[in-house]
Amino acid sequence: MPAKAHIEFERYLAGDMSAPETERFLGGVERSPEDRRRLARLIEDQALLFDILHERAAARRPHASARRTEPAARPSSAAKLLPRVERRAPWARWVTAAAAVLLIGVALLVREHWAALTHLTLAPPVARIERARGEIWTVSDGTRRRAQAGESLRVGQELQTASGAGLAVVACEDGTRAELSPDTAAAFAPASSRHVTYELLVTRGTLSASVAAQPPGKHMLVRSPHVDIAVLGTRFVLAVRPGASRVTMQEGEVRIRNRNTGETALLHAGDQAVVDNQRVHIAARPQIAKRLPPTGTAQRPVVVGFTLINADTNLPIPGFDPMAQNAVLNLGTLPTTNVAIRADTSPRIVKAVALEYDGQPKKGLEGVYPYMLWGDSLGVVSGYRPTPGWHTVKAVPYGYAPGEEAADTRTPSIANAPIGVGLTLRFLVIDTP
Amino acid sequence: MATDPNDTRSEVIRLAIEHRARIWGYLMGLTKDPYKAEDLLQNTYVVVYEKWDRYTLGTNFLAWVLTIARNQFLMSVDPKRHPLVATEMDVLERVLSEAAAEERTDVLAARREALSVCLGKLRSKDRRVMELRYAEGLSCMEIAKQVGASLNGLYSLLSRLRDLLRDCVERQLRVLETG
Repeated sequence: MPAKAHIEFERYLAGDMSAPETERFLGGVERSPEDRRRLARLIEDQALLFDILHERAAARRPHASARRTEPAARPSSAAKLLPRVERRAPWARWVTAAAAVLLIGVALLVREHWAALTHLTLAPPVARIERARGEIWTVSDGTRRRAQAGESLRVGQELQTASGAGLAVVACEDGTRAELSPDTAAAFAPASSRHVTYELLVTRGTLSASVAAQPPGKHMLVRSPHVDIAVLGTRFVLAVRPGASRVTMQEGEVRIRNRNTGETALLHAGDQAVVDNQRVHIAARPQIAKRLPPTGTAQRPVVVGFTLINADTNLPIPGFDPMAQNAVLNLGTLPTTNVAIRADTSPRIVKAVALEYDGQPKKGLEGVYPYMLWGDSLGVVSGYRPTPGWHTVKAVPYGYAPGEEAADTRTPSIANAPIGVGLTLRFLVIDTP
Repeated sequence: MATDPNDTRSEVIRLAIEHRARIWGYLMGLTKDPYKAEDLLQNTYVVVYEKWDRYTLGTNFLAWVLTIARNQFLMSVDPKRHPLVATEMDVLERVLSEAAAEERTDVLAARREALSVCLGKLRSKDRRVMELRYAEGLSCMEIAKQVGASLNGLYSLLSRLRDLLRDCVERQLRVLETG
């Protein structure tokens, strides 16, 4: 049986097939091992392409979360999943349009009067809606109304974003920004302590926060039903789901507290914690960590050593953390022969690291921690089996120019970057059981 | 001898990371929406971190985690409005399980590196099409309008670009293997 036409795979992956077409397509795939392999490969390639291109797009937008790339008019997935054969009657469109116009008119009237009525009674504004996409609403005293960019937010007012394409960026006076992803609800609450500058309660959805440095002795408090996050100034993502909240650190550190058990933990850049009613689960971030230095870091970087990494587990191999000069790696006794080498720098985060192996420069720079000789992907380091004999690995770090904005890119420019102090390590590989 | 719970937990987390592309791919296959797939993936991870002790080391991890992903997807849609959902899940789980059995996850990681290099070799307008589809999440219809192509022309272009990238990735992997 011939392989299915490639175009059919594209139509299927894009969700552009009707229900009968999808059924026929899947039936054919089930019967053909060749088609099953092709579909698997296409699905995996899609995942890798999304990962790479999304990461690059995010890198081009400093201090923007990945979700900002979401187009406003993108149809919801549920709508895409509907079989294409289900069409509404032509007159239904006109009825819907008329109803929508009527509703919009009524909504505008209500909004106009509502703003006038509530202006004097609400608390003073604490933040402003800087950007909005799709539908967003504010909720005060149980009444929900459409909101838009430029409006103020007050203590007690909840901001909600629509599922699908709703998105809002909220800016506080101190420069703190919070981005609400689709289907998210958050509200500023009265500060529960004089040490708290802002208190933000997130009841559902995902919030990406870039918190400005807080005044001495004060912190911002971000809360979910499961966790309190005390922030001094950092970037992180809080995802609130039924039963648990997830905190993913992008920069700096925060202290979190389980609201049910009182258990606390300190999270650093790259950490991820899931907090439920029982405990705080600390886990490595399941994606490539992007750790950015604070703006203006002008310290001259130094490569302080190399660490041998077990590429099967992503963990350092005991005895080689760090690797000593003239270290001997016996492939017969190492826990794995799939290893990688990480360059360790001071400060831990630098602009880029140039690496060489046996005198051959690695193509491209390592611009994102960890600085791996053979790179890393999807949070997993790429390993290799070293050949027996003597080898050298060399690393040269590049720092940030004074006042330079932190750039999050995998291919950083080092044209004007101050060069740091490099290090060369020599080691011997043997293979003796 | 009883297994150390910390070992099981670390192993579950490691496997979840290693299989990330397949889990995301499965959810993308079901939702046809990269952002929805990413959201459901994160929900799946939350459940994995909560229920890691339900996984038995040595058993089929991908099957276990795809069941969680399947449930997350089902909670997010109305199956009555998507009559083929069960068939689609079965087919996708089968193709991905077969692929996982044939290929080690470190090969998947190497493919990502190679793909990253190969994307840089595409013509800028071809790379733009990939960005519109995957970084900006536009539908094929929207992309076709933007690039001034017919819908079928866009499908053909996407298919051709994938073939180009696949050939390039294979070459890159061969170079890595021999080099």
